[in-house]
Amino acid sequence: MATAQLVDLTINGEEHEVRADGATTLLDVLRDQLQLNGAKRGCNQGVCGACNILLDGQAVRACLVVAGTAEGREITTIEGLERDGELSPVQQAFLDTGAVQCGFCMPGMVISAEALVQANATAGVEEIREAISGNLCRCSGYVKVIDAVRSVTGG
Amino acid sequence: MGVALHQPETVEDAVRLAGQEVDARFLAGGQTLVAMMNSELIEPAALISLDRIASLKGIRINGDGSVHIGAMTRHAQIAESKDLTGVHAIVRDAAQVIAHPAIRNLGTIGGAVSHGDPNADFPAALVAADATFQVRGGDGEREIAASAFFQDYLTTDLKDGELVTGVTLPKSPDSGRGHYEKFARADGDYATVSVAVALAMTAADKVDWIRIVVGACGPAPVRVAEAEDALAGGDLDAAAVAQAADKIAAACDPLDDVRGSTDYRRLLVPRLIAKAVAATRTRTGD
Amino acid sequence: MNDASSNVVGTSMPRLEARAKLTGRAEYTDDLSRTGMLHGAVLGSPRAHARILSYNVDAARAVPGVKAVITGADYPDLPMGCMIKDERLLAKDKVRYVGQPVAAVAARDAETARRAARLIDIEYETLPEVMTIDAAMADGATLIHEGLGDYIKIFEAEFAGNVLSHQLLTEGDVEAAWSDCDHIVEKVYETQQQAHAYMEPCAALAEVDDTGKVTIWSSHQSISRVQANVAEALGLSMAKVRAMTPRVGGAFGGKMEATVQPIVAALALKTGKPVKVVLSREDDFQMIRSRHGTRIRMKTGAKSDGTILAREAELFYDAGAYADDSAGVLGFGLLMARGPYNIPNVRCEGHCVYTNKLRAAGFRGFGNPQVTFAGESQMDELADALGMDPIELRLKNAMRNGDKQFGGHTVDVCGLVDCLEKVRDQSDWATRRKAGKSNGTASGIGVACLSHVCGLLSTGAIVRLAEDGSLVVSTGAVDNGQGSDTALAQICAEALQVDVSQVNFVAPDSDTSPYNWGTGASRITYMVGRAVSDAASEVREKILNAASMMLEADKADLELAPGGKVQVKGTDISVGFFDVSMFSLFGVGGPIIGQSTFLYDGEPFDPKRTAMMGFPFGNLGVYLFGAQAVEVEVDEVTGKTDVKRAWLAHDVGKAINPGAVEGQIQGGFVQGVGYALYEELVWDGGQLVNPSFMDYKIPGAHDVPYEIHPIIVENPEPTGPYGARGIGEPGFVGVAPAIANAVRNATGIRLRSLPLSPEKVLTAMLNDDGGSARSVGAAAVSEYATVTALPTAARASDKEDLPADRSPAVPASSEPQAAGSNRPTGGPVKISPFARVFVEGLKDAGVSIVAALPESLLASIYRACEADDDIRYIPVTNEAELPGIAAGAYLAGKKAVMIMENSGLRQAMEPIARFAYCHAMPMVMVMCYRGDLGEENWWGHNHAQTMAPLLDAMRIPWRAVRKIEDIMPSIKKAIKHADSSQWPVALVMSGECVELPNYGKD
Repeated sequence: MATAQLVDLTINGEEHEVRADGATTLLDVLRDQLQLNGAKRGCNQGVCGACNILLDGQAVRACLVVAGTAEGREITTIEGLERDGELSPVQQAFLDTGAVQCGFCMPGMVISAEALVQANATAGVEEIREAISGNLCRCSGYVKVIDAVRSVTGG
Repeated sequence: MGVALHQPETVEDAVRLAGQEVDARFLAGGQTLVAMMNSELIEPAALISLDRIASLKGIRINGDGSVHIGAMTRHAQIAESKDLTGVHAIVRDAAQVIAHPAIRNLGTIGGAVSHGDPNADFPAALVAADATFQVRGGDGEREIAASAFFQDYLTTDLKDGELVTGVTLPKSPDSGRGHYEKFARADGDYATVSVAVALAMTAADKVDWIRIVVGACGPAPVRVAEAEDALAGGDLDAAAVAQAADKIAAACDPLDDVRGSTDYRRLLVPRLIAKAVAATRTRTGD
Repeated sequence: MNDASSNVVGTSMPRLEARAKLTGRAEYTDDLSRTGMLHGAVLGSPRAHARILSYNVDAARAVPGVKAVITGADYPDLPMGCMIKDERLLAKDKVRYVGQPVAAVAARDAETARRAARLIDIEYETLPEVMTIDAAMADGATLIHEGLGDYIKIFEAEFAGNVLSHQLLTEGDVEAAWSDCDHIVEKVYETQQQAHAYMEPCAALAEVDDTGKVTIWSSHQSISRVQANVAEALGLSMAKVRAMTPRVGGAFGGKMEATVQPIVAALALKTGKPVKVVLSREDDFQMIRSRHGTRIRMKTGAKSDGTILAREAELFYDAGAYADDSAGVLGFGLLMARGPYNIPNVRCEGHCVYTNKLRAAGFRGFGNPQVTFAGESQMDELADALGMDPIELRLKNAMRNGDKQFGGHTVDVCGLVDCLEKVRDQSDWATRRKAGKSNGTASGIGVACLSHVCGLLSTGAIVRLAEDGSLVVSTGAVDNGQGSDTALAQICAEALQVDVSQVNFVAPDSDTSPYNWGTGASRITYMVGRAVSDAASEVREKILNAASMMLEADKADLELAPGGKVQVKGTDISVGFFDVSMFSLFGVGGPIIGQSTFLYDGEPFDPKRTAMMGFPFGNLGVYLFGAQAVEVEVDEVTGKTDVKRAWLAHDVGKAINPGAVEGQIQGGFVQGVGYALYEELVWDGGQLVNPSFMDYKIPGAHDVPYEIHPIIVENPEPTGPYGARGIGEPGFVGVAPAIANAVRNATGIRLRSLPLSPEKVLTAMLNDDGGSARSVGAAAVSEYATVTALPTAARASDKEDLPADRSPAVPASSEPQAAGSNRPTGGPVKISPFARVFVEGLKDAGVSIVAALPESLLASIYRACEADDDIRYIPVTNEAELPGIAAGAYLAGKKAVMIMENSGLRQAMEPIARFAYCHAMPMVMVMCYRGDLGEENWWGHNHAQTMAPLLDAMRIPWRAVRKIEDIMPSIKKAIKHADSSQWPVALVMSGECVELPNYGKD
């Protein structure tokens, strides 16, 4: 009786119809069906944060969302942050500050920073650290990431 | 083979589905359940999502001053709630230190307590807050105290087909204060040892009552009523607290694992109790 | 050198690929897809040490969607390995660590491949596990590589038994020097195994064309090493192997040698289709590599005025199951063991030892961090003994320009003193050194000096003038994220005075790139930068040649001008690179190509000065120097150390891209904090206990300070491109000792064992134990070093400083323990009280044989059975073995108990129950379920529901228990039952089996 269903998802403002059953996560759908490969599979356990996306504006782990439960919600991935080829202020700040090294954690990291900036446009160092505390980065030591977000918030 | 996904809109429908499906699990926030499915540790035949059941969401203050938290209320909401003050601050404190922000955005109190992990943050906090859980199943509704609910590692009082629908915290007295102290080896980790303290002071500034609950040191949260009673009426001076702490430490049964050895946890329990009691004592308002 | 002043070298321009990484468009290996691609899964060994007896792949092959199943038996014996050829494509004949790849499956999707892999049935004959350095070096130790003597080795290895490399470096006369010393410090230091924990798990995608050529994309540090490893493992010509790397999500040394590439190539060749394998995080933790755990005895002697006369070091490095580049790691550690000081008498001896664990290999620092932890801790201990400030002692002995490194290499430019003074001044050392307590924390500051190397082996570069006058740079350098693509493009742009946008830095491809050993040893900026700079110089010369013809001017009168032009000096007369290109392509000379090729060509080691035995290097590279100071706060309630600030001075010669240099220093520092304070791979017997980010924690943003001050020091390296040296590794090297020294300053305690966990710190603070290495009887559960006696003659001068017995592993976190005292006991094998009670209970019931299909739930019970002389413990790998054991026991008149964990269950229970029933054989079986599987105990519920009718039908009595501690009483009852009744099998099930009737009569 249990087979994959057709699920309608709104991703970066576009409607997509995907196949998903109860074991299909949003990360599976993004990467395997929609080639939205920005969200990365770093651990598939919800610890590393490389798969972070925005669900109704909040940062969540795509690897821990059952795709079918995301119907009717607004999903934003890293691919959806640009506008007409212009990077978002957060993305541009990361680029200018030199926060990017290997880049694998970056989509998730930027998403967390975006969620923070949308909720708190003047966030300071402690709030920034808190917002990115669930995004593991093995390369940067976090300093330039915090620098980047501060350059946007002025905090 | 596929896993069915049901998304009922009422608790009744959820309970009915659980009765019908052979091998179904309730899906609350998914932060533990989906991780386990991703690791292929569990392979249910069906998931019954509780996410569309509006009646399970939200925090409200009842007429008698007690607070009701719907089972599907997210940790993030609890962490920010201005309605959780006094003794109830323990629950808010605990929610703030669960894992990481993205987990807190989806994780729910109902899901967390149903998992019954004594290393997690809510169990000790809710026992200290004297919470009761509302449970619904095929046989109807019942209530159970948090202290009876958490029985063993990953073992709660829930029977087949039952789910937690809400958590009630009794009214916090005016002089009531609560504090949740978590010690972990790294940010976002499960506690090595945690201590939840709730207390109320008399007009003469003596202890009216105190509850001290230790988490992550045994199969269930640890409370020793004798030790708490011995502190009632007193000043919480260092010697009295230390004596009570030793009794509570002796009742603990900590594991030896990557988060801490048995010896270290035993060493830490009295020290953290002292720290937590002092912190609770000096908390104001909240 | 340049004609005009620098315009792009020295600027912190953003990485060339940053935009792609920030928009999600950058492609890593798992983002790649090829038409008709299959997905692969790798099966790892469940045993730490075993002979492979047989394979049965029928069930796996039969799974719909499976296209290939391969095992080691399907391939000829082709040895591979970078220094000692001790491994194969897939395990052959033996497995040597839990997680070692033994088989692989290619299928239409990853889930099918994984399921099929689990159905591969391999019979093992378990061999004794050798889990520690001491066990491996003991007399009569089981040999892990019996054929070590016959293995091909690329260096003159001194080896014996389980020691894969024994090395000795000496200068001067250490023995004679001790008597001239006024103060001698001798201690033993221990360091743990660390996981690389790069964010991108290992992955590879291979496809084969119609000529049999394999193209392989993978997450890796070296296309040359991929090509070599795949060719060697499969017996192919390199002409048939093309290796490329898309974007790489971190490596740190863990991806320098083969990860899954040979296996993926084999699957592609077998199926004729493209195959991709992406390891799960858990598999990556268990299968790939770690940093060496070590034990180091170090002795230093000095005169009262602080002049250090002698240094002796004895290194034991735990290599794990395969040699990989361990001999190099040991060698480099020995070379660095003198430290960056002018110590005339030095003796450094090392042993690198096989054990049945995940292999240890290169990891940021390559053997240096461990020995620097020992050496820089000891420098502070010596300073204490001398009553000197730690920085003063270091300044007194520090190397300076023209001094010689250990090994004889002359360091023309040594920025160590510069770094140390900057760190001292910028950290306000004297003030912070006063330390202090407030609010339940103790604060302090500590320092460490370091030297390291950059260089190594060979490389090349090709620079070409494109038709329109822009430039193409081709090297084999892989950018793992450290920023080498950008730095190398900057070097080329600088050399030819063009904007970086005019430089096409092409991706490494073994079909078109010149050889480059790999991205490691902090060498890309220095080695490949030199090559690019030299190749660009050749292009410059050829451009000038063409221009001189075009302008009819003497070459000596020409110079490059910014913007891609050649100008007659002092005039406006010029030609652009476009014109030059047209001229050479269509007029005279042909395409303008410049190339460079070289092997590191600095001063080799001096055998007249430094005697070297078994040392694998003839030459290394240019030496790097730095100094690091770290301020900490130690929580006096918990012993947890919080790093507050750091000042990290590194002499990089010239920062090609200062922002990138800062990022490397900051990142190396944070990785060092994890290493210093809590990262540790933990073993329980042969099984890694914490192969996940849940259980192996790496630093997050809240765990490290924001105030990390990288201090770029620039004393140019004469041989470096624009004076540059490397920076990839040094940021990591001094962190652990700087923190240990800071903890000492803050609390007065000296810890000599990493990580400096809160438990170790608190226990030492409470014992007020100035000299103890770590708490007795219960530190975290690292198993690699049981320090009972040092294998060679122990030369400790203060015996109480040798660490007490370290007890090996304790149960995995999922095992509940009996209520009551859990005080650990002494002795070399730690038996939990619960396990002791269990074993006593068994003996009490007359049981003398325990056979188990073990996982981890009851690991402590298995250990206790093993340790008990009256119980014969038999671990099996296949439930089919159990009936035979039961039969044997029965016929011998002995009582046996069979224990099966989760994997046994239905597949095990049914045939055994039937066997016993048919043969009327009394047997007691214990089925154990983990308690940690969610809201309902799924195993118990499901299997009990399906097994109950069967057991009833066979009239087999069974009993359900809820808690592990109830198993023993139930076993006793079951045995009594089995004895007295005609029912052949009595079964005990644990875990929650609700709503099922209890049959047991009691």
